[in-house]
Amino acid sequence: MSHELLDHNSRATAVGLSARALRKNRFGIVLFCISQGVPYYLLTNVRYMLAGGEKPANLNIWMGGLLPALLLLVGIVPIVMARSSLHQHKPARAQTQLALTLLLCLSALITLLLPLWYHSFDGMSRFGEIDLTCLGVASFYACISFLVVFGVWIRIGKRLITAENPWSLEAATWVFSFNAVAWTYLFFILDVL
Amino acid sequence: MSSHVTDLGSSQLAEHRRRMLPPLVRGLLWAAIGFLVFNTLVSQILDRQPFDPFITRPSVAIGWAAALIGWLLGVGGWEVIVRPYFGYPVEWDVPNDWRRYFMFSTDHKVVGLQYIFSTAGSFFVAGFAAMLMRLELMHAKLWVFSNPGSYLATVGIHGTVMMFSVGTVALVGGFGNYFIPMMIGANSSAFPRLSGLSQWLLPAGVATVVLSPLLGLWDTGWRGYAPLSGQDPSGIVFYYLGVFALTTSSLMVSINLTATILFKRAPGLTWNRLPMYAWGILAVSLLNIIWLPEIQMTFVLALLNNIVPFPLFAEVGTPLTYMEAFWLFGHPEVYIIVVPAFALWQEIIPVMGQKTLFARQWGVLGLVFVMLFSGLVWAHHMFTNMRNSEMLPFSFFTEMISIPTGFAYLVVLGTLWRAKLRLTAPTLLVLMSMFNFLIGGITGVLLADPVVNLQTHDTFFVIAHFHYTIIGAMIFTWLAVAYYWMPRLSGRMYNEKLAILGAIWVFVGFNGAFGQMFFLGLRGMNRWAAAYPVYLQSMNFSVSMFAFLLGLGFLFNLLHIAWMWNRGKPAKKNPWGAQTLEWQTEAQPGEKNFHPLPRVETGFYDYAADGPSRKDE
Amino acid sequence: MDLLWFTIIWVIVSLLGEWGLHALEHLGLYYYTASAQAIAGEKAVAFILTVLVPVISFVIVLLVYNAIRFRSRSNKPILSRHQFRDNKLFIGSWVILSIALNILFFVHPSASAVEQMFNSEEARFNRNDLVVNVTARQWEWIFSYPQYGIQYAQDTNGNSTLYLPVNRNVRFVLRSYDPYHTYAPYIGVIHDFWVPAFGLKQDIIPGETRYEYVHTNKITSYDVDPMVRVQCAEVCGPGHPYMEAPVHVVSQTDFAKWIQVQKKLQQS
Repeated sequence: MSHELLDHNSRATAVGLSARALRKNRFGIVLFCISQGVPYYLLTNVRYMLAGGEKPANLNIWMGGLLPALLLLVGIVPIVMARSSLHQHKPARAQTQLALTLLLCLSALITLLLPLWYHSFDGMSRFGEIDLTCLGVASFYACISFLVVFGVWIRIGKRLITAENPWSLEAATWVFSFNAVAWTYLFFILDVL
Repeated sequence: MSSHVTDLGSSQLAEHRRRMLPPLVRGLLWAAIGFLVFNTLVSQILDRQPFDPFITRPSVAIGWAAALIGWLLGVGGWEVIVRPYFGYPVEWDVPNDWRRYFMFSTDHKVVGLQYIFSTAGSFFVAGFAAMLMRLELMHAKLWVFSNPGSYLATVGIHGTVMMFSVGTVALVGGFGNYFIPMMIGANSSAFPRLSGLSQWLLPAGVATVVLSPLLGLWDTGWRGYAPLSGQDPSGIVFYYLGVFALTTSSLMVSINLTATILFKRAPGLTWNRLPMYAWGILAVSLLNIIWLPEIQMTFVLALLNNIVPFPLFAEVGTPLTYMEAFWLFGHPEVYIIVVPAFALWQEIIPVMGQKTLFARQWGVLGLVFVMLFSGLVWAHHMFTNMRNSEMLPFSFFTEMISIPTGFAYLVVLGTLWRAKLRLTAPTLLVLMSMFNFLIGGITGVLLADPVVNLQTHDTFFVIAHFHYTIIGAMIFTWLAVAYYWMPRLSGRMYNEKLAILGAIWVFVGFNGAFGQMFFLGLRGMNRWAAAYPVYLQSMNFSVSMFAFLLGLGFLFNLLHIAWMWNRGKPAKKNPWGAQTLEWQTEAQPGEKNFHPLPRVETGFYDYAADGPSRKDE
Repeated sequence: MDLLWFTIIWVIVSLLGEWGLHALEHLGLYYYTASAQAIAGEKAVAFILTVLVPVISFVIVLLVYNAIRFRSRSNKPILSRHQFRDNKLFIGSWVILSIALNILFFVHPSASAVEQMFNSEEARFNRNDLVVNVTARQWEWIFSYPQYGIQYAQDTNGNSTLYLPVNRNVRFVLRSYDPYHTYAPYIGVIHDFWVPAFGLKQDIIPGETRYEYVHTNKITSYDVDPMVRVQCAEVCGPGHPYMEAPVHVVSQTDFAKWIQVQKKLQQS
């Protein structure tokens, strides 16, 4: 690998990131979140352009709505706690906490995928189109955040992410929280407002 | 670079090497497997359709995604990204020879060259499509293409590849990746693995778009307009998917280069000393980071519109929304293409004139305000859908954006005054580029006027206008920097006489072809028409002649550069007498740029004989 | 000294440019105009270009003058003896002039001409408009004249054709759908109604009804100038280039005669 990567890896296991490298990484994640926020802005616009403020009468507010939002939001708690466990040099506990996040993420994914599969609104209807699209986008991002957290879980198990070098866990927290907040936002736009 | 797999024993390394196919071959193989498996899974099991076709729209979209992932993993993503992410050691050896260009690399110079080659390749593929179009238009009736649909597909491929894999990429992913880290005195970009991955999306995206007619001729042009796209054969699916890959590539480059400029600057390289090119890349990257995800989501919607299918943009949906969302991205895209060119003018001219950059702060202001305004002008592409009160704000901002654009001219013209200007090929090409963009800008003022716009919209007047801004400004500047940085890239010098001949050649061809198109548009030649009324034929014939001249001119420059790259006279270090940091190192791909990191004491554009930067010479 | 020479050349080139521009305008720089709206566009172009010719010549003359006058005779980098990074007068006048020019263009012709063009759409001007229903389908224009009971204006070969009386306000009612397949809601695509000689165009969006107003001011036809034709300007599929129809602007009496002929055609 290039010097940079080797440097990065050796530093990663030994002394952790320099303050500047940490700022750089955080900045990169912020750019990622900003860029990925834009599609949600577009979906909001399309929702109103297409269906106005329409909400169907038979709207199930739980499945593919509030339930995944709650599961994802609750999932932020253990992943944040995992960070402090890591700081206290308790990687096993951090792993358990991440496993809880993973479980919540998986259940959120299921509550998103089920209504996507048994779509109760016709894909030909105006609300149905935007509802299915948003569910699909949310499922995609839920998969991504699951994979991201899963990788971190494995690496904590291998003691590659440690108290000295917790950046990857922090990055995963950012990605997971972004998805949780983004879906909650979309849920409000779709089903509540 | 050759000895960086230190954590592997040499025997292990040899064993590892023996087991692996060449990365490109492996990428293609994994892509093929991914496509077959997932396409079959969807079309034969999950979503069988009447008459049981092997390839359906959903299956081809899912199969394509699997193929893309297979390709990215195969060229090295598996070893460099996926396995380390799950805690396995990095086992990726990049040999220190030509093979490094054909595999995943994290060296920003290798990635830059990979991008430079892919963009040049795309340019000639899409240019060939343009030549076919001009051949067809030599005659008022169909004669090259068997039906207008295949002409439209060619138009679409030309536009899409030129926009998303040349215009958006050549000066950012290509020269930006190579030179930005060097110019700010860094040894690598901020996220080298990200940039290594991004490059490999480019060939995948280009191949997707170029091969799209295999699935049917799509006829929407480069914009993929719905609701027309909803009627198109499946080729349109590959258009949306291909552009998705290409835009993802640019998005990654932008995140990487922004973080690089902000966090990897050498000690002493303050904001006041930041190179103009870095300012340009910063402005472009912020545009990319906001607007590329916007168009990606739009294309996802249009894709779902086609493969599910939804009536999102049909008569029963909201047909105008696609257009709005497209142009919301579409106009910033123009500035994404041209802003790095503005910055490069201000990079090359002080060097070639050996004179202090004039009014630098106004140049920076110009770049930043072009960036800010570019999101406020988009609806001028839709005056034909608007009324009085809606037009005026967009007309206002469209006219106003010419003010910060003008600052680039202010800076360069001020720098040229009483300079000691060497009329080399790069200088000449920058001057030509400024002339061309002036014409593009003036016709832009005309187009910003709604009353004029309502006549010239969707005619060849508009085609000429935006080719003046894109080819005229960006491609000419691309050629200028190719000559300017060739001694740095290849260590060899081009032939000045041949290069000047090449510059004049493309200048004549370009202005001959596109200058006439303004008049063609005013005479009533509309766009996307393979056949047209006979009265326009003689002028079209003459446009085509100049277009062929232009095509040959680009080919001439390519051959010249390719020849001199290997056979040119060895160049001196820093032959132009530049002060920017990329000339202070002779590092080639695989080598460290700076050892130790430089400490920057002054700005790079001060040429006063007793200036601080002269003292150490 | 350089400044003086440059100014002299600039003034000469600007004057030549203005002269050339007006010669071109005389020859018909813009396009063949057959409506009041087209003339508004022509005037706007003429105004903008007249104001901009000195600006264009300033930049071009400066580019060329710099390149020739200040060229170095050596290939080696030699520092220029004149090093400066600021000139408040030049920068200040550049910035102020560019802002002033843009505000001028926004006020006139942009805002003023738009105002004028859309004025013609106000109801008080349109009591006696000729109404033409324009239906765009893939790939055909269908013109009907509801005030005269004409469903499908056609020539003797059965092709669509558009006849308009001279010196009338015409209201085009624009819709995109296929009257022969009204059961298919997906069949409508975006077309664009454009008569090059009338100087304006309007997108036709499926599901919307839009209007375009034109005041005809000249007796002319497709046979006089091929720009007097209806042309679809927005890509609408493979048949897009063929989506055109000839236009005839005729006198009131000829128009009345044509209406009679069409009525007979309708009955047969």
